[in-house]
Amino acid sequence: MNKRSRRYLGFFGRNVEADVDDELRFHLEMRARDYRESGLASGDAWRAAGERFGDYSSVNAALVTHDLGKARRQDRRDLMDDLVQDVRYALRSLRRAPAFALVAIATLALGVGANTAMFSIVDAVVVRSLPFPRADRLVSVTGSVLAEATRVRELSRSYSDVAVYRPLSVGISGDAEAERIEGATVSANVFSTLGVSMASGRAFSPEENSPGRSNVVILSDGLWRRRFAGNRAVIGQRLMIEGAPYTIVGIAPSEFSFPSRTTQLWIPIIMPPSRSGAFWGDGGYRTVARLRDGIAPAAAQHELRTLFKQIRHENPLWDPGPKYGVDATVTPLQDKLVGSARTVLWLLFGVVGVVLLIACANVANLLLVRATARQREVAVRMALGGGRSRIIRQLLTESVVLALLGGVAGIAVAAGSIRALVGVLPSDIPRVATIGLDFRVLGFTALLVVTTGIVFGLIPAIRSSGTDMQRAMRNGARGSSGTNRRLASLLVCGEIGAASLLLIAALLLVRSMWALQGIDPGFRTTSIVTARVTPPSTRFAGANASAVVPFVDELLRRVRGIPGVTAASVASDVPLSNGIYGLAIRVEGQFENIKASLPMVDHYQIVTPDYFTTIGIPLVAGRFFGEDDEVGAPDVALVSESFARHYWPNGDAIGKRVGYPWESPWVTIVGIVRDAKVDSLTGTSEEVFYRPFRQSPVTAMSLVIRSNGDVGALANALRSTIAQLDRSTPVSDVATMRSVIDRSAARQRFTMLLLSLFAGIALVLGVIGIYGVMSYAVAQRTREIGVRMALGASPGDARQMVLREALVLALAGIAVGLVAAALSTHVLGGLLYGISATDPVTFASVPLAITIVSLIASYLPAHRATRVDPTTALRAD
Amino acid sequence: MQRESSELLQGTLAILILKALLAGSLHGYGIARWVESTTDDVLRIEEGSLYPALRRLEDKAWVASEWGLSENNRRARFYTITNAGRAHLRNEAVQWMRHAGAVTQVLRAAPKLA
Repeated sequence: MNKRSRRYLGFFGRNVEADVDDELRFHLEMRARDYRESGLASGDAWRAAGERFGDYSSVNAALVTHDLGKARRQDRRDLMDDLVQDVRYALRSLRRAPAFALVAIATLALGVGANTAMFSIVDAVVVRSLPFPRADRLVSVTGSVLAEATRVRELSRSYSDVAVYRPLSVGISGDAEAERIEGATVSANVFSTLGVSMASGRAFSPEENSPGRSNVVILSDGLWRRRFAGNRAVIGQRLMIEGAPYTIVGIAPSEFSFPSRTTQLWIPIIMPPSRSGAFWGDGGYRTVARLRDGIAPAAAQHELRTLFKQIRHENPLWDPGPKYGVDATVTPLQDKLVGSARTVLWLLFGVVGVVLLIACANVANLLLVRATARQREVAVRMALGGGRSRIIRQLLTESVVLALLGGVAGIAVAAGSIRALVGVLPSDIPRVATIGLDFRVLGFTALLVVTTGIVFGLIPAIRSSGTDMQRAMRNGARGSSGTNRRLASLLVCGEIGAASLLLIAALLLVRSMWALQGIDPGFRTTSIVTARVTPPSTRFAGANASAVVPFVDELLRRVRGIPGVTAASVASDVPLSNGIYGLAIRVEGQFENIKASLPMVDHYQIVTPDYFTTIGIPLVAGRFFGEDDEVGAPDVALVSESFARHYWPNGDAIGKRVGYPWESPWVTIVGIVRDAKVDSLTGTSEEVFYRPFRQSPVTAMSLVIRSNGDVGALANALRSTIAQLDRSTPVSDVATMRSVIDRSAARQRFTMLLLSLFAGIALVLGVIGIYGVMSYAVAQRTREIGVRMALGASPGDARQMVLREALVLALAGIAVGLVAAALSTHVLGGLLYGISATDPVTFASVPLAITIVSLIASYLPAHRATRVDPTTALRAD
Repeated sequence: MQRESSELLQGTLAILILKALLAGSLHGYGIARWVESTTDDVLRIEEGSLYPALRRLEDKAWVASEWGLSENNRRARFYTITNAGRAHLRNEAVQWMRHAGAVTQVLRAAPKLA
């Protein structure tokens, strides 16, 4: 049977069983008739026919099975045939409309490309589980002090293991150049807790956490390859860490990096039993634990809080006060490591989603315009017997083909942009190395492409297949153009709305960035270069401690000799580099009891006398540090204005005394300096406590230099100067103050850059949309415009009519966008600085800009309307 | 043994059906009747097996089928031989003749005494 007649039969419903029965029964009846004609009685004839036939029911069943299978195969083949035919037809009709195809594919490529790139980042950083076995069981436990972790491990029933770690930065030296790298000090079981075994060598043994053992180190795969050329014989060899020899016992597997992607070596935590309990707060230690099966983080947290009460009752020294007790939390390790990057990435992912919706709306629009132009074609096909579902299927195929082409182009866009995106990712975002176009990402894109193809194709397809055939044939292209245009206008409104929303968000971020950049940090940011200088800590240990003072004197003398350097000083840490920490202090006459709770000063810095003049923090009262503020002389300190005002509101801070939170001599305040933003540009606290280097020397320090030369040259000069002074002292993080500040705002910058980019794309797409709809409207209404002009309307009137319509569209879209923006202020609020999420300037300027751009976009169509010639327009079909 | 003879029968049945259809399209009963009358009822087709055989031939595209009206105005399924079916029949016929000829020759040969 051919396809046509099967369809025809199919119209009545195909019935395989009835057909088989008909055929076989016909046979039996014919045979019985022949028997009757040869003289048998009717009943005998039937029986004889049945006997002659054999096993009727089994033959019948076999035929039914066979025919059903065949019908199914045929259906599938028909479907495939239709599909191939539809795809061919789609490609042909796209080739016939190259401008349409190009705009649609480019639009989709932008939308799909941005989404693919963003998904690859979100997937690698936030979604994909950590590269540890059963990573979902790993949790981060906060609120414990180091020694408590051991007790928690002993008492808790929630965890199969509890490990402790602390990131640290160490100087390594030896055969190659001294350098400063990131590492971690860990409890021996950290590797087994994470479920990682060494690529070669061994992990730490528990005894190696006790003092008095020989120093051991485990290298990351990266460090091992870079510094030791991947030679396995390094196991058992020595590596100088902070000037002390460490035996290399193991090499971690290549994909392993913990706690951060920059961690390059691990050394055991040494836990002196005598000092357990003396740690203040969490001491920078963090706890990772593996939950037992069936235990939820919330249950573990509940147990932890109960345990802490018990542990701190056992040993009151561990109780850091009520402020820390409530901090006891158990959260999935992944959440902890990804941290706040999660919010920003999801936000941006949502934003590209909106961009894709705009792209879809745009293509849907183009398809609607086309659908109207093709009404006659569709009507003809329906008249020729194409069913409605068949035509919808064909139109959908066309849009999916379009989406696929756009998707392929989009993958190219993504491949090109992922590297660029990763380049602007702030450095605190983890797991960046795994970002890329892999099968998960491509699978996501494939899904995205097919979905978008259906989303933007469905409405136009249903619309145009629902065409009233007769009217379309009679009226030419004017059939249901009115409703199509209304729908297209609605879509453009949505696009303009979404674009306004994104533009408002982007502008808020840009202005917030400006505000950030405009913050006066309270110190000089130009011509300042900083560098980290970290002599091995063993060098100035014990009896040698005071030798660091002449070392720094000599260091500064030589640095001042470098050409271009006009001033040089040393500080324990550079402002805004995340290295500055706070300290509990005693204040004479106000807080003296070290057993009671003491106030915190948020920033504590140790500096050489020249520091303030070098970095440009002016003196407000009293005096700066001098070279004679040294050991043996009275202990002195400087404080910032806020600090002075906080404790001595009457302005008489000079001469007052403060102290460290342990038994130690009082320190006299000899001067007050102006407030400076020390650890965050947006931070509100500017209470700083300064101590002179000579009285409180540190071995890890930063150079703060004023120089008018080139940074690169200065960096080289610094390295060689310091290498001459001491080969084992690494120099790292050579940077201008400006770039240190920029880095502290990297997160905001990244969000702003991407959001602006996406908003820009959204705007361009919105403008294309409004241009398309207006051009179409003018083309559609040629006759109407012609009539108006014949009745005396001027070309100016025609232009005004079109522009007015565009204005209504734009304003309606803007209204939608403003409402959406007002409703979503809380999303952006946390990312803004110095500007309200409902900033009136932004909320006024974006609509204005969009209105202007929309009018410009519709000017060309409007101009075309003025050129309508009434005579031809009236004749036009 | 049983199986071999039924396979032989199947092959034979196919040849009979195709031969029956050479003259024109027939329904299943028509094919059965043609075989009966042509072979004087010597080769009686097992009628139940006729229809599965027709399905197999149709699957191989040696015959095609179409619903139509029988001589007594009943709805019946008519089978037609296709070009491929004709070619197949030609090949099978040649094979069959050669085979039959060889067997016949053997049977006619005078027995030689050892």
